[in-house]
Amino acid sequence: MRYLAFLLLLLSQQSGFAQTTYQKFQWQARPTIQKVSKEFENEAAVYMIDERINEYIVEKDGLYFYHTVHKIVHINNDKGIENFNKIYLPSGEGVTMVDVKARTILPDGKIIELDKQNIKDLKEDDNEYKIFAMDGLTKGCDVEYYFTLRQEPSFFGREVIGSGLPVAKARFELITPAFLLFETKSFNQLPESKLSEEQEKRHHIIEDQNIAGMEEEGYSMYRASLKRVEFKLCYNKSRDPKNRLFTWNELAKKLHDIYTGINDKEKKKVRELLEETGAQGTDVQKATAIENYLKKNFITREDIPGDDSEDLIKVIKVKMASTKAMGKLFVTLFKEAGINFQIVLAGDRSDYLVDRNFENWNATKNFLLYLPSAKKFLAPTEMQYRYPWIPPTWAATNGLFCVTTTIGDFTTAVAEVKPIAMEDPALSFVNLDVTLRMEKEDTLVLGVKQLYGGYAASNYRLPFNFMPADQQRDILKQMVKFGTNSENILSHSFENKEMESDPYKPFVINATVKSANLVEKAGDKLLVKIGELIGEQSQLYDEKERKTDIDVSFPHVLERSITFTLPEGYQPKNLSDLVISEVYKENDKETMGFSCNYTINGRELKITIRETYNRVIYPKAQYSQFKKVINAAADFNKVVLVLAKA
Amino acid sequence: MKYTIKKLFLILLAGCTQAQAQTDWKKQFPDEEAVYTRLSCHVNIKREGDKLVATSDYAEDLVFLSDNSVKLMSKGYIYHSGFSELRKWDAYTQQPEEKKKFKVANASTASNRDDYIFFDDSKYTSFDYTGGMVGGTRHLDYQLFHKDICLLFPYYFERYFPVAEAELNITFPSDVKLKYLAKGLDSANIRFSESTKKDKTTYTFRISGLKGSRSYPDAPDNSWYATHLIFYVAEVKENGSWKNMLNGPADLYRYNYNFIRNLNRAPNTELKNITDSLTAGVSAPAEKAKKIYRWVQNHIKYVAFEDGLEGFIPREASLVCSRRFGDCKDMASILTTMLTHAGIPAYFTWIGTRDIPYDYTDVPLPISDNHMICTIRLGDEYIFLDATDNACIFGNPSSGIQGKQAMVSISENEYKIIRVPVLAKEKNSLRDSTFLELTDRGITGQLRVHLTGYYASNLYQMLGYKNEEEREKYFKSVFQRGSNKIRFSNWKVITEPDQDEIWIRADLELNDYAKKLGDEWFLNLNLFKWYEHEEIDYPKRRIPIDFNFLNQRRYFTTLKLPAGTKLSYLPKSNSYKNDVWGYFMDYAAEGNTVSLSQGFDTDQMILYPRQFEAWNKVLEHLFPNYKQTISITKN
Repeated sequence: MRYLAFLLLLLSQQSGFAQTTYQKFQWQARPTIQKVSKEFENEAAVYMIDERINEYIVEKDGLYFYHTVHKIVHINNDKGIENFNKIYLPSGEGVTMVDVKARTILPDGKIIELDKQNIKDLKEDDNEYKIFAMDGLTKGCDVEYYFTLRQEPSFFGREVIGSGLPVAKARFELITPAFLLFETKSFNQLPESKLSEEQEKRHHIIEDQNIAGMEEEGYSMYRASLKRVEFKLCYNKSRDPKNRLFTWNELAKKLHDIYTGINDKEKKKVRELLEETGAQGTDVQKATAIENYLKKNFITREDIPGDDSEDLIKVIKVKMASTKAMGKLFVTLFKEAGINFQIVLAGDRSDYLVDRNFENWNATKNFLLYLPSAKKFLAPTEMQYRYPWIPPTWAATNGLFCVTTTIGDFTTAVAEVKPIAMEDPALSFVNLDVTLRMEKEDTLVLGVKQLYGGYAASNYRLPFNFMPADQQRDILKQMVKFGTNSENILSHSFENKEMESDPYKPFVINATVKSANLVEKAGDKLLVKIGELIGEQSQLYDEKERKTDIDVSFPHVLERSITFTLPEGYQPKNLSDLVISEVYKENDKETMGFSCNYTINGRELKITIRETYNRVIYPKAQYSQFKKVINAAADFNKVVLVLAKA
Repeated sequence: MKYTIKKLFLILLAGCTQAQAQTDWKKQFPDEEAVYTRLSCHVNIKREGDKLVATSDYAEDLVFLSDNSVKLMSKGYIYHSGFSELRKWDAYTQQPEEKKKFKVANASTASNRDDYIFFDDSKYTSFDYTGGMVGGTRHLDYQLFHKDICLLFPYYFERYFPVAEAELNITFPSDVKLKYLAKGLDSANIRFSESTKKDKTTYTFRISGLKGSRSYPDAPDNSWYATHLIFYVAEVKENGSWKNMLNGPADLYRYNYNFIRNLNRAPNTELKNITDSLTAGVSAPAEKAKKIYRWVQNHIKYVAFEDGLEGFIPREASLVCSRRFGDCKDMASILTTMLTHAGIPAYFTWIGTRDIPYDYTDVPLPISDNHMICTIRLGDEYIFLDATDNACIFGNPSSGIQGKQAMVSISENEYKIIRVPVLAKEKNSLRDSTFLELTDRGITGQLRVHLTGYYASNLYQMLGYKNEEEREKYFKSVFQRGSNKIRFSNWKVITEPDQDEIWIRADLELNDYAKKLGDEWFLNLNLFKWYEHEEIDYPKRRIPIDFNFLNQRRYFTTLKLPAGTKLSYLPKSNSYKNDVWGYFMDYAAEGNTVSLSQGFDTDQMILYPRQFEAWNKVLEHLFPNYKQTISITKN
């Protein structure tokens, strides 16, 4: 949102504030080797100092942002050497590296300083770096480097302090001219900043120490769990010290202007396109038709350079749009189709969320459209999701809803920060319906029906629509093998395979499979590995204390029904192994559980299994319950039915 | 590794503008999502001043036959580098029956370095095709300029989607002699013709109806099987007489030697001191060499800068020493210097890793090597030292160069081509034993693993980067058996200074693995089901399978029965072997223990399609064994 910075720039220029220079970073002239505390000795490397300084400076031609990072890393072993003998620093268009230094401090005190000639520019995909290698690294040495970037200011920032390696001492400083009032907010137990004010400048400082390296846990949002600080500009004292800047309302208004600001020529083209989409009927019907048409016929790219990249006439002609232009095309089509909708911006539970009281506009990177009549969403830029299914990590948290209001002839939008609701847990499922009978003594013929519903369907449907045919065949094999332990597919069919299928109908894979790997023989007994029909299940152990809450991505159920026609002349001996119950409730409502039971009718044994996760997030205190549910499924997976001659 | 030619095969490029209508293509290729209607390349070798240079003009046209292909193939790529500069390019899309060209968008150029290389000058230019639709076509043409005529690279005729027609033309002046070699599965179908106009000759190579090339994760590099044509300037006429350019290995040696000619001339005290302190008190040359090799393996980390000539010229040994990092050439440089100082004959050596299928004697070109090592002579024996593999055992070649020809630089005018040995399977052995004891509470037991050769060095390398916790996690995943309920404790690793053997031990618990029913226990002694679902998709698969090294694996499972029980069913032992491979599976019962031994050998580095049927035959015999469960009853 760099264009916003421009506005502020003008403000400060008009006000004619004194120019200053940034606080140039100075490292110690005579560094000594760092000593690592006992608790971090087994780590590959330790950030002894991790310092981030962010400074806003008024220069001759306006306001600039200086970003300094200083690190001293103590290297404990070979892995540490290999992690830090190659350094990648951020770079890119509009960013100037005004200062950079690096040195190796050897255990004997010898210092090897980086020759700046050895810094190379690297561009990979869309990322640019300055890279260099560190000379002379040995175990027990320190790697120290700092760099300062000068760039156009953004009035939002974020520093993620936590990482996989420990930080002995962390320091964050935000320096601003005294007339610009910033606020900071700390996350995940990072201390809040302390403010000190001088005549010309304000300093927000955070200091923290002995931050342990964070390991990635299963069923967890790793990035979201790291210690971090965010900052934003809130007031400009030189203009209106009472008027809070960059509020959610201001963003809603801007979005409204951006997405509705199109000319008549564009409008005409969009109307023609609307005809082609065949949108008719209710808001939901029209929205679905538009979504299906655009996602089938247009290609979306993260970013497309060029001044005309958001020109809808061009977009419609070339059938390729940047995510922003795609949003604009959706909005325009919705408006032209007379759909009642709201623009919603979402964060992502896997990293950063929309915070009602701390308006960091950088946390609103995901674009949704909301249909108030149905209270449901759609995600214009996400190919694999169709109304009402959106990436599940964008939901179950707050979103910024831009509610359009009209005053006389003037239309604008106001912000509401409220939850983006998840769809009903019962609609998202991974169900399985298997019938099996013995063909020969050691071979089963299975009728397998795999049903994928809701959030779960998107990922499974995806490859069967967007992958080349031979890869589709491989994926089908893998999916069938999971549970049948066989690649011998006699026949198969799909239901609701197309992305445009009724979103409430499950994507179904039907397969008839012959499997010789589910029956074992022991003398005259047959061992039928009935548990393997649900596929291998994760097994969790108590190894370490759980650090983060459990996030299952979206609430869902797994219902499996297994109907086994027992072979003539055999009797099952251990049916009681099929009874398992590990169910947890709160206020009489099931929160999560695994239960399994059976009925037998003549030669037909019917097993029903129900596994549920009715919540998205479970507090870490419930980890032991969660583990029991997961492990109950793993236990069932090991059940072997013993058939003995009657 | 030195400068590696990026495989054009990987490039999924495409285009349009053919007279043939889309419906015809769909008829001709009913099951395909897209077809390259035409691929072409025109290489023009010419004089520029006193130098020979070349341009390559590539053109590709692809017709979209499905909605999905429009999306799949919406991105185009051109690969280039400092030695093969991108001079010009054009790409566009046309809709069916329309003349109008849709220009590409989003063109940008980025680095195309391999993961293991820190910096090099190989790049790719990418762009988005816009306006694509079923029946539409996309077109690409571009020109590369080759400033060093010795660094021409082969032309690949295959793509991911089928190729209807492909053509390579090479035009060269009358004072040049060109040689060529056709390689790959369909090389016999390449049609050759020749024409001469004035003083220029053109060789034309055509091929039609190539199937789309499928990739397999266990396949060797595509140069082993993809259809391609290698061509090179063998001789050049200068002042009326023919002179060799790259006419044989001797010419390649001359070309390569120029890169090391001036290296390591000045003595370096630090290196000398390190070498002296390492070899102090050691008299046997092999011992000295071993110590120096180990020091370089441990202290010089692999970091590769391959910008232009950096990709060919090793750095001074003294610089490598003070930086403590380098690429393969730098490690060869420091090794030869230190070893020479220690009085051991040591030589710079070029080699192609197993990614490259060519021999120098067949393909005497820079494309035949991508690596540099140091060769030493101990008595009559040559030993190959590759310090980029930091766990490689002294005396063994690194696994990636086994069986390859090495070009050893003895002096400015003398070189030797020596074939690197393939380590015998008996040297790479894995012996894995599980001792189980069945009790009323479940199964407890021990694990014992003994590894030698590449198995051992691979594990040493892995362990070097893991702390105790990470080690245990790693062991758990690689040594899992029975089911994912297995629990291990008390890991012990017994190492050995030469790192050619390693022992691992642990205690284990394996709950719910044995099934108890009344007085009877059932248990499958096949804790692993090796090769399950690894039948080769034969005859569909035409691409060979690559193994990293020959090996011998033995698995033993011993079960101690609970007191007062006896074995009521013991499966039959059996084995099967054909001329490709085989297995054995031996059951035995003695006193209160029952055991299973099974074994597999890998006897070939590359498994060719002609061997696939026999390979699958072994699996047909093997798999029924996995269903054999033993039963134990009360006395």
